[in-house]
Amino acid sequence: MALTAVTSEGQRQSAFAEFGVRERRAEIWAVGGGKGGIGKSLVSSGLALTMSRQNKRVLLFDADFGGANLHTLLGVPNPDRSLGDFLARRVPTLNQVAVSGGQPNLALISGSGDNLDAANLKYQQKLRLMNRLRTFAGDALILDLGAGTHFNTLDFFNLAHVNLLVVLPEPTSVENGYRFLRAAFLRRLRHVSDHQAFQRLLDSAQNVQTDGSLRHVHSIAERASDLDPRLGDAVMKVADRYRPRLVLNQVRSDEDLRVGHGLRSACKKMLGINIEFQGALPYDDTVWQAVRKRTPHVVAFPESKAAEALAKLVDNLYGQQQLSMTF
Amino acid sequence: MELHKLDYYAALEIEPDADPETVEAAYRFCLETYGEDAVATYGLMSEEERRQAVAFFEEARRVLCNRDLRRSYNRKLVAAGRYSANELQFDESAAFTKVEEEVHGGEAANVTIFPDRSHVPAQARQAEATQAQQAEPTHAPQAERPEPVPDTCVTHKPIPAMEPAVISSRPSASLPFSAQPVPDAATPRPAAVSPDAAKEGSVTPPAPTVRPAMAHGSSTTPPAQAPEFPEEPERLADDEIPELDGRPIGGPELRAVREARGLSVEEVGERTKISNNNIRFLEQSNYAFLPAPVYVRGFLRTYAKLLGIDGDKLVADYMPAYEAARISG
Repeated sequence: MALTAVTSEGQRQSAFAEFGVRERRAEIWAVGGGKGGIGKSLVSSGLALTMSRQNKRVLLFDADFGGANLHTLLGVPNPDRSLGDFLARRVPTLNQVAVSGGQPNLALISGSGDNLDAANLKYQQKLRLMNRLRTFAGDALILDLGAGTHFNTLDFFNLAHVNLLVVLPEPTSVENGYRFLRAAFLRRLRHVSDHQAFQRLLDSAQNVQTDGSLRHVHSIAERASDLDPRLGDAVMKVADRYRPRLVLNQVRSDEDLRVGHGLRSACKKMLGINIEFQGALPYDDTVWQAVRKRTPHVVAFPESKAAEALAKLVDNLYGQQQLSMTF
Repeated sequence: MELHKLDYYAALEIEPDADPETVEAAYRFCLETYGEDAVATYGLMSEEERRQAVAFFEEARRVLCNRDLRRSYNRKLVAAGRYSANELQFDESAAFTKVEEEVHGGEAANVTIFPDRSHVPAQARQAEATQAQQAEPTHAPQAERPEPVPDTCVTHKPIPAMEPAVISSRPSASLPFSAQPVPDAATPRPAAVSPDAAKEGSVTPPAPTVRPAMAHGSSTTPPAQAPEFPEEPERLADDEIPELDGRPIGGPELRAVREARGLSVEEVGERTKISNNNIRFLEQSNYAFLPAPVYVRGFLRTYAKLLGIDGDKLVADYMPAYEAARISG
């Protein structure tokens, strides 16, 4: 835990990534959603920038191992130090691979230069990485996840205290969003017990799509309690605590917005998973303009609709506010 | 598909005092969310499930937008212990007329409200039609009067359409887990009551599987031994047991099988991890003291495995009476 040796380097880089202070742990937020191109990186960098401008000390972690490009969205050069150095133990601490995120209070850890992929992150590496990430002592650690439902991606999603599910109001994104959410939830259930039959039950739950048999948490819990009544109980407890937050991106109309409410409704009724609809980010051309110019959007267009919606999202996430639906 | 376990208020995600306008709006939102071509549930539901969902929401709207139907439905929810009577008060002076006309318009109106009944098994539809015919003469005059409860109104209308379709098929699997209380912000109701209770409450003619005798003896102070099959001998010979001649297995049979196996309650408890009390409650058909259905189902399966009897059959035989008792108790 003693990481003081490297603080000087951290300060030099204005990357304040302080790890290892036990008394104070950052809240971890993960941004996932299954599909590629739905704005996960824009949402996570947007959140990070918004929060850092509110004087919160934020570490942005590019967990899109195969396709890290947060540095581009932040408008900082491709980092010369990268996550791979930590994983390969070329440097002993995460501090040494954190670089400035281009803004005060914002640091970035990225694996952009590495030949790394969600699929080839080794178990021991992952554990070591997660354990270190947990010790970050700023205000918030934001994990930007890659596409897909690889279990490494799911594990980083579940590592977080606040699980953000980014979805576009489009069938493809909705479909992948459900797949991702279910996969992440089932992955969390794996920790309930290593009971073999229970693990097999989760395997078959993983395989159902529109066949309703094991889709709802209740069906899983019921089958689990067939194995052992305590298992069913534990499944329900996990389900009760699992509260991902929905962020609907690229909203163009009220109809789009209702898709967000519909997702919340359906997750509960059809899957038995309670998601909270906490953010709707409008479709905003300034976002793309900023990306093309490789300047951080929130900095370039602080008055834009999208920037305002991000600020609202941060408030909602902190205040546990849901978007309300008015008929 | 878990929708059918919700009461209409929970299904539409509205407050129990919602006015017809709100019901309408909620209904439209549900159609948009669960209906054909819905974006919000894309990839989540089969076409068949969508049809069932739409039919269910239509029924919910129809009942809640009609003053008399709603009053009678509310009474059933209260009787089922799902809500207190106070919670279900609604403004009876609100504009309920439009839908009333539709309902009173007779069969033609029904056809437009329920265009697709193809998912209802033929026999259920037939039964319903017969029922409707029988109810029709009394129905019309009753509808003129505002106050009396047109229970017939409810019976002959398609309320039971979805439920029989579900109940009749596979009792054990079709009422899955019904009782695990769905955590629901809209209906913060006693966790001990199964959502199914509400559902059952809406089925006016008791589901075919419910044995009236059981539903009675089960409430707060159930007899130690529900006389479910008085003609049966108390103790069954060992070789008869595994099949039990295909007869329904209830509490007394469970005990008989256990005793025939030479097992004590304590031994069963040790081997199944079911508490001794719950084993006794199971055997005494002491439904009121048993926990939520999800646990009971698990107990039954576990117990069946230990006794070497068919778990599916046990669950199918045991659960209906237990669930009926939960409703009436």
